[in-house]
Amino acid sequence: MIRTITNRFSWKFGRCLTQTCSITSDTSHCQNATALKVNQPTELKESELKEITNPLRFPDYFGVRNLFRLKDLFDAKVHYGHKDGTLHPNMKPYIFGSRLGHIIFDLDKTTELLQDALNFTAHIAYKGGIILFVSHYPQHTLTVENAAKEAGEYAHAREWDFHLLTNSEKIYKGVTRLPDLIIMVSTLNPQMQEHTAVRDAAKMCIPTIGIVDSNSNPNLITYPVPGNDDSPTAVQLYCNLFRDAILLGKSKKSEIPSS
Amino acid sequence: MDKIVRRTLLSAGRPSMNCFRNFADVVPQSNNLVNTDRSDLNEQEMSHKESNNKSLSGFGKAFTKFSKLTNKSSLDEPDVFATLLRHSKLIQLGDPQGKIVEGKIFQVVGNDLYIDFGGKFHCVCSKPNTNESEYVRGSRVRLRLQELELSTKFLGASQELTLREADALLLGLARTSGRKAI
Repeated sequence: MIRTITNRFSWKFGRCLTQTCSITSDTSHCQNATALKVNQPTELKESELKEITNPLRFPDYFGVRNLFRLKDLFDAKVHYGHKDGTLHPNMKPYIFGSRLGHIIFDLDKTTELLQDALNFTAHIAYKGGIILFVSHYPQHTLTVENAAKEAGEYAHAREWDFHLLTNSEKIYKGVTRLPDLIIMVSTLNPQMQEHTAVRDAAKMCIPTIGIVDSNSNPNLITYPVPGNDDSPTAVQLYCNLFRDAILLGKSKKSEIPSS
Repeated sequence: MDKIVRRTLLSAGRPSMNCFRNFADVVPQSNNLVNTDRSDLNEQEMSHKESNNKSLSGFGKAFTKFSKLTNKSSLDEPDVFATLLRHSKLIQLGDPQGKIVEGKIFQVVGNDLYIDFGGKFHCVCSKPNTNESEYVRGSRVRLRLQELELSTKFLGASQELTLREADALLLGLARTSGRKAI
């Protein structure tokens, strides 16, 4: 089991495991350096540097808003929640209402939050970060793993080993590079409790994007996306969107003249 | 255009064709009203229809009028969540208890059929003894819904426990227009 995980993390995709510090700290350091360079140019150099733009200055540099429309979310049954009795109190701000005991999500809020999440994913992919898809819903294992494969990133859609993030150096017997973003397609495990990855990612300062259903707790998730995490159509849509966002980020990376 | 012809003929049905003829004669045909509503149609289409309206009468006139009406409804589909929800099948369904729906079998495991009827969850029904060979992956079946989601509170618990499944009774195969179930 651990061997398959190491395959997914390292050898298959030819990534070297040497850095211990997370990429988020690295990129901030790099950005400061480039900012300093841009701010101290001579007139000749300024014209040369015009082509290099800072993607963070734009609200939607990769155009992730164009990946989906509200109607697509509606058709994929993203607005369906569980019943009133399983509603988590922290999910109340994202609810449109309840129809005969069944919770309905407010898709206007969901579209906004989903756009933010996709934008963040694209930025992480642009900077060359490792993205891990996590889900422990047996029905959707194949969907999640295929999406990760197509995006050229990693997935862990099986039983979560609690040593994975917090004790990685002992498990893999060497310095390991942890994922820079964890996308949780479902934040609950089959026992209907919060997935360990949510807590562990927060401990290791790894940003998370999580599809939170009405029975999940969005507290520890950096970019919660309220929506249905049970219907196969909804999960397929999320996987497609995140895969497309990652590919968008990576395609823009290849467009940089010098990198 | 052919699709519209087929759809209107099907919805009209043979006996009601006489109805249309009478309706067209009764309702005053004022071309001005029709043209102003069609501001989103392109010019070519509008000029074509204008020229046609002069020559058509009776059924032809009524047909062009009603075909325009169907086009209008498809163009005006809003992207506002509240409106989409209001006109959705979930709201139309009302209380799921006792409602008859059509579902599609997406998995067969032994004697169990996993049926998706368009709700959040699928339902699991056991294969009936009659027409066993007809219940395969992809077959359409009729169900009587009991619950859209099986979740109840157990004694002493503060929150409900959900089974992530719907509950429905299998009535039989869905009859399509072409074939009859034995």
